[in-house]
Amino acid sequence: MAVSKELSRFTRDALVAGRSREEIAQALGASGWSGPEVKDALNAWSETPFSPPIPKPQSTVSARDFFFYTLTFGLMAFGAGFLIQIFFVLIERMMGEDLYGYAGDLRSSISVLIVVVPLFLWLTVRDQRALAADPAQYRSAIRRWLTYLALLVTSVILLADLIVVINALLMGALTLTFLLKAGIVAIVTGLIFGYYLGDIRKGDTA
Amino acid sequence: MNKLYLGILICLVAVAVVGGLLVAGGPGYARMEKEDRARGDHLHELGRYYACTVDGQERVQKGCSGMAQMPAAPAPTQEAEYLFARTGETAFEVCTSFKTDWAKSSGYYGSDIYFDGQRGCIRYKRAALDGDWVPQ
Repeated sequence: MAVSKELSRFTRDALVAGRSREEIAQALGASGWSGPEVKDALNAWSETPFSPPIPKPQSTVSARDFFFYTLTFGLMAFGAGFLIQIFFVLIERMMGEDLYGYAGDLRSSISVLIVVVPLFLWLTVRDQRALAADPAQYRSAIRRWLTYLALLVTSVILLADLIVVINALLMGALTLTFLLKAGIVAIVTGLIFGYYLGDIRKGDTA
Repeated sequence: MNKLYLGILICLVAVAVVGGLLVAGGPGYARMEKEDRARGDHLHELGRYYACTVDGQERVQKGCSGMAQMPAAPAPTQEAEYLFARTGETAFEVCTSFKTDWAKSSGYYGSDIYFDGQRGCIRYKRAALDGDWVPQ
């Protein structure tokens, strides 16, 4: 939650004046500030006896981050969609289903992956190296938002996948083809979910 | 752990690309499929042409306008042989050889073309009711 300028200034002044955090929280609470607002205002300052109080590092936003991370996450989503599409066609072919125009679909999807995957990997490796060199980049607000967005989208897909499988089971429409397709969706989205969850945890400890 | 997830994803991509190319065929095969499509389309054109001209110029049936001249084979299928044969008093066929199984397995031509191995034929018969030549 963003802390208002007045609240931040008051908290800083109170800490400079030697007030304890409990006293400041009590005073703010009595003045109508909510618990989370008070907590955020106090958490913005480092708990060291040093005076004046030291601000904690804040999230950063930059146009470069927007370009870099939107491109990386966009490529990931785009590539994952086409990866799943290739596996769908391969599964259908494996199960002997007659498909019209499958070869064209496969070639289009392969073309997308050949371009998207190396670029995504290059951007990801570049990002990981930059993070290793300067962990402060974990504080990029855009990076965190997009990572959480990726987690949200993959969670929704995983849940929807499970719902669709249970629904097909209850409707008596569960076939091996269906199950394999649901499985590949779960594997691809699960791997992406796991990757970004690990990334968030790494960022939290950095 | 993150590297493991990324590694598995890359492996999946590799499997998808290699598997996709094995199933769909490479660029050479794609070129042959494209030629087969042109060949199949030309076979249809020839079928319509012969349906309009097989009885001589006096035959006038629906869709025969502008069909007096035999349609030229499109590039790059000029070298293919298109064989016309009367298979009976009221039937004929036009056949050619296809390079791939695409025309047979894709379902693009429905059941219009009859296949015997790589050889595909389009067959016409004269309708008993109005005497028009119709595809079998």
